[in-house]
Amino acid sequence: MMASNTTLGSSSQSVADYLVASIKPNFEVIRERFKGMTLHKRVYRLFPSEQNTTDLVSFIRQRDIALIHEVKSLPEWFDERSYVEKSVNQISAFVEGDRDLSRAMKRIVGKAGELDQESAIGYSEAFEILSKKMHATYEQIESENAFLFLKSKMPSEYFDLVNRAEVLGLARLDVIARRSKSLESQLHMASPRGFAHWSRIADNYKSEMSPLMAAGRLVSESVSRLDFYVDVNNAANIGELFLVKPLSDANLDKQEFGRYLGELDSALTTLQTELVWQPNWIQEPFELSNTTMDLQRSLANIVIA
Amino acid sequence: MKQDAKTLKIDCYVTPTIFTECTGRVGTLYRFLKSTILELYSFVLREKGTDVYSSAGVKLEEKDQVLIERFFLFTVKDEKGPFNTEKEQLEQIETWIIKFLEEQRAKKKEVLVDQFFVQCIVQLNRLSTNMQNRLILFSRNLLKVMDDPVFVAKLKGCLPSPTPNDKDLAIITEVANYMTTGRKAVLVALDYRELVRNADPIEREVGVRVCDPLYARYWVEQI
Repeated sequence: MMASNTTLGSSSQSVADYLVASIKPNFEVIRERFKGMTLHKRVYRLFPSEQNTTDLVSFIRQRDIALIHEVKSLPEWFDERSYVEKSVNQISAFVEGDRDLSRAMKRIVGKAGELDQESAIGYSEAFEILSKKMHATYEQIESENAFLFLKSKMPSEYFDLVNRAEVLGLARLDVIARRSKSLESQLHMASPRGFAHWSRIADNYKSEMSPLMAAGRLVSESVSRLDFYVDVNNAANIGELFLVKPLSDANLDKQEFGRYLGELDSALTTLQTELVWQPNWIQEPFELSNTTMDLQRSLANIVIA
Repeated sequence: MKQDAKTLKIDCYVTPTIFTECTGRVGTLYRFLKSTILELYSFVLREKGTDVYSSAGVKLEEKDQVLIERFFLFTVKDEKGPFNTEKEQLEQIETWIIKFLEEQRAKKKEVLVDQFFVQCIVQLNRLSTNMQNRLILFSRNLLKVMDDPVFVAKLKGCLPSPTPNDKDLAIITEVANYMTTGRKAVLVALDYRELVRNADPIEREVGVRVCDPLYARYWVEQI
């Protein structure tokens, strides 16, 4: 058993899910005191003000509790509170451990300017950082998945789906990062023209990206549920959770496991369909060794023959 | 063919049946490759007197190539793989494994069994993702057309033996449906037995010209 770094990948996805769930372009009327008078001021925000926002920790906590309640077979030793705390601590450490990400996240919420330019910058920066982090850790994640495939007694389909979820999750982050960058520059250009133009740009962004965001969130939830179910039923105690360890489907309920696999498969198909229509989706081929390139050429001929 | 399409400024499309068929084939092939590697991994460990739980630090030495040779020679060559080309595929995997091992040995002084097989699986995962992504990119040019079972049955009765299978007939119908919108098309195929050799009767019956990609340029210029 060894310490897992797969949490790095899932932490990036969790933070991305949080950002995606939090963006809600809207008008807010705020009260300001000016020379003894109370003024009502209209503010356009990408994110609701601090008091109306769910913070990252609460978001993760709510998500984990919902996920735990959905899973039917849990071992006797399992304790919901300890699990949620462990999960929340990991995400918090992930964000706080990266100064740039932490700073970008702080820029997002609670700005009171008339046009919420700061949030757009923070949002775009956060996605760029998450996307880079995912790319940086991907090699490690794919090696861990391959290691588990060799050491475990699990159906190949499980690893195929988990692998596909990583690849599509990476693609989703890239697309959102690219589109958020253009949102940031569009809003920057539009600022002097005021509310109407500004809100149109933000609303366009939201409606353009909503199907992809929803599909991505569904994948995140399905993969988290599947991972949690497999992990918790292959651990002997709370200390063994989140560690890379050989897995066995002998410890799983066939029907429940099959249902989670099916849900993930269908969520991935939806996400893939959404990605295909995104003009920002540019999937660079993964690097192969020279000999594997030769194999790929031969196999391509078999496929089209 | 891609170059010809660029020169002639014509679009290349895939029909829904082709897309589904190719995606399925990549998946089947990938699963076959992975299961072969998994069997080889267990075989090598067994022959080296160890198992998956105690293989950390076990080296893959030059002499262990004999194990790979023995595995392919006696263990799997009688088994069937997908698409009835199992022997050819197993030879390709065998060639790849040996060359990949050489590649890894040239990079590192010492190759561990676990490390080597992890890299094999990583490479296969990447290969499968790359192939699937190429197909997905193709699907951006997916024709929004339907096949037509009644039309397929009628077409089947008109063609000489060996008649194309139902999937091939569905592809012809999809292209014929596309052409009913007033656009012209040539269907390129590598299946000589049932499609390319039936090109004349297919064209006579439904107006779709089938040809080898090599001759696509000529036929495009004719229509």
